Amino acid sequence: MRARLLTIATAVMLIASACSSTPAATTAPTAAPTAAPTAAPTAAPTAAPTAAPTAAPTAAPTAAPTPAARPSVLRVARISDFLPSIHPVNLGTGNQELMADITFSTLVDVDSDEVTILPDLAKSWTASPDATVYTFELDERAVWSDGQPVTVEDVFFTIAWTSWYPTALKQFGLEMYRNVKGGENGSGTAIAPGTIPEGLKKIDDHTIEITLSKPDGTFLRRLAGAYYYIQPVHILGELTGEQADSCEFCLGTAGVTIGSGPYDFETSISATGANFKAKKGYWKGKDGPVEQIVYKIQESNVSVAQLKAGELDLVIRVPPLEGPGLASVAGLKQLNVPGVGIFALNFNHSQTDAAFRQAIAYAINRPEIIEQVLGGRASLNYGIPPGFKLYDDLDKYDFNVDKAKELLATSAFKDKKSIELIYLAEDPNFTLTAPALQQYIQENLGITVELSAFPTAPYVEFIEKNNDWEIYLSFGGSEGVGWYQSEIYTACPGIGVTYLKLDVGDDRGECAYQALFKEAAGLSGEAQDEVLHELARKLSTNIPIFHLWQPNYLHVYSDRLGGGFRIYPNERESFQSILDWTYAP
Amino acid sequence: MGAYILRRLLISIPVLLGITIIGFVALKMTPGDPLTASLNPEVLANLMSRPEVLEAERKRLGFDQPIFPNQYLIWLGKVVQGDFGYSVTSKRSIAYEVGSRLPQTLFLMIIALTLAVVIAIPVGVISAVRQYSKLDYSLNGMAIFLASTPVFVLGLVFVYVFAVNLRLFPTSELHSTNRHDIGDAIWHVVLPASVLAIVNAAPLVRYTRASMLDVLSSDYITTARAKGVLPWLVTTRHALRNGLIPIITLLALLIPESVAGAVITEQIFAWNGMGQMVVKAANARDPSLMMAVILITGVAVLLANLIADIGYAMADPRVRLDRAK
Repeated sequence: MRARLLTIATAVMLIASACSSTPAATTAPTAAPTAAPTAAPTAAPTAAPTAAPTAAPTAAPTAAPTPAARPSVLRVARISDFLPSIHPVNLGTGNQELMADITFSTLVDVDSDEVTILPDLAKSWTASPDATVYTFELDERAVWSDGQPVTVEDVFFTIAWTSWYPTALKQFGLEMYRNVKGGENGSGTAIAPGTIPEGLKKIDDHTIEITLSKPDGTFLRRLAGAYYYIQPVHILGELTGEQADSCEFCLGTAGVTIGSGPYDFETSISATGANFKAKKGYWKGKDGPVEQIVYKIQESNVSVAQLKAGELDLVIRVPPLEGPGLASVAGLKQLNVPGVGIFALNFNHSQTDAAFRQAIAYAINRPEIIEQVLGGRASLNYGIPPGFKLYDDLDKYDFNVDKAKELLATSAFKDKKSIELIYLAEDPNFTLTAPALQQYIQENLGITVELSAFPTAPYVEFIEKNNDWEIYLSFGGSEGVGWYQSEIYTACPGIGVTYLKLDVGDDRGECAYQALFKEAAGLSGEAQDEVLHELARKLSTNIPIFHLWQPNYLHVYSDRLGGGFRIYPNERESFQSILDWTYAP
Repeated sequence: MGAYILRRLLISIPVLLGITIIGFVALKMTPGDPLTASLNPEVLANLMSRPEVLEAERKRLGFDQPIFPNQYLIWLGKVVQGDFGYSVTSKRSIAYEVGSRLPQTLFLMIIALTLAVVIAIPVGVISAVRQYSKLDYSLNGMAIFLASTPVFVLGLVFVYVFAVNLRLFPTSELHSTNRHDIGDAIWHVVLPASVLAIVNAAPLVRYTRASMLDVLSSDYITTARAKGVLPWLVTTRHALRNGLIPIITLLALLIPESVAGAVITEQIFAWNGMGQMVVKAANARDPSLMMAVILITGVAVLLANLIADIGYAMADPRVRLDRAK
């Protein structure tokens, strides 16, 4: 009898335990360089911000009455990439950025055209013509979730911290903060914690002036990125670089991680997502469209089933092939957005030369692959990053077998009989396209292409630690947002993505690409265009990375979503406009 | 019995140590650096320019020391004190990672295995008793069909038929939004547990039938029948108990699997259990998490075997667990 009672008790405890909420998270005591699952690729608009937009709209949205009966829950899902961190040093995945966008505020936001700058914490701003001095007037209504006001000191702390602990930064993007005059400025030498760089000046209680050491016309646009969110100095003031990896605030912990965005964490971030609750009486005078957002990180097949069963309201990035099957589901709408992540062939420059790379580019019939393999659901790229203008004198690498053979004959690597094409085994995008690429290269150049599908860990390991690979197929990046987003991929070793093993020197000396990127960032108008043209020519001729195409993204949402609901081309920024959304009961 | 259990538990300790040593060394010897494997390529690229950061981190995590015995002993010392370490990817403690998933997996698997046994044993017995009848052929055919159906096919069929089309059950997860009660959990577990139950029941039916046929042709069964014992008593009391021996063995093999999680089923039903964790840990080369899985599975295997031995003795009185005096 006792044994039976014990068995029953154990069973009851198990069920209760399984049904209870997750146990309190214990965080790692010290720092560790963290994972940041590969950045989900972004989108499309090509317009790049020219130097320094000047006057901005001064008015913040005025108070709107809260609807009497709001629908309660918006259930959102996005594909499965996961990193349980919300601190900017580790932001990198779309899921993190979307979560950060609803819990935190940046100085400015961006509209869905990916160009127009909108107010967020700053209700107005100006920029000097030479794109070195920016002033921001903070919205005096802005408060943190604990009621403390958002102050100039919060902004100073957020920016200065990156110069105090530059080695903590895992995200290339945050480097922009270090360009502040008196900051770390890429020197590799941190400034003393607590020191405010001279480029940060308090004009009055709500106005700040930021002076950059080098002109940067992309500054405002980039500030709208989630990883530039302003952090609360009264909570994180003592945070060290090491702690940023694992502090409870940094991991997105309910009740601990607070921001100045319209939502708070209701549950801590886990592998499956997080729940958020709307702030009542949000400082912008308008509350979020729903009281709760359930944000799920899960496999797309699960999301598709949940959509069909009416268990989800919005799925960001549904596999395009699911589109027809979901079209007949009542109450669902689809958004098929051209271009997001970039499919690219990445070349090891010690194993290939420009002629060899060009030969491969000519040998591949990209339009046919898009039509036959991808069902037309992609936009053609022309070798250069899609954020660049397609200048008339650039080679578009239209399919041309004769030219491919000619070029191969001039290459120092013309005797290569076989090459290895590496790609990620887990991603179905690769398993569809890699064989097509293989076929074109083999048939048109007579080079045997060995396909090597790697799981993630060995893939990274192999590319990082070896120099005997030749080409790998990649999918991701955010080059489509603007030309400036490509800098990381062609930057000097030690600053950018060194695993590409690029030859970054040329007639302009070492780090030629990066020098041009930097130069363009400090210019505007025709002068900027001239530099960008030169850069595009170099990228097109030398093709360090050959951009193949941008697959379309399919987003599926409930027809109850309305108002200003929109998914940005860079879908990870879509929550920046969430206050404009409506959700019909 | 008590002495036997104690003896088995004591023997389990060196076995468990052996399992963890092999697991630890094997994990460390697999290609790939757990530190760099846990990093985003872009992040890693940035850090590669600062090798001192990576080195310091390796040192802090003890990755610079000899694998055996140094790193192993460090790990073991902490485990003995209840510190399983931290996941290099999630930064959460292993206790948190496992603690948040193991109950979900056990909840699912216990229900699934119980259902499997409840379905399989009667079906297997009926099939054996009615050997070569139409019923036997039907049940047997069904069992073979289900045993040969991949679990992902069955799972997807269940999702699309019962959740998407008929909307009788939810498609996935342990709970509906904002529900945390047992009733909701049971509603959610019906589909994944049914799939797992069917998948596990199919081979159990075959084993039960074969075992029962073997026992039913024994002399002592003939004797029982000759003595006029009622047929159902012959089947349940005399035959089934002996026929259970191979079933217990099979169940003992299924229990550790239940702890490690049903990877495919958990994926299809977005069940946040051990199976999904194992896959993520393997992909990320998360050493502490992988070791925790090895340890838990090892304990489950040893316990399952112990339970099986006890089960043998309960099913068959001729089996003696204590040494003959």
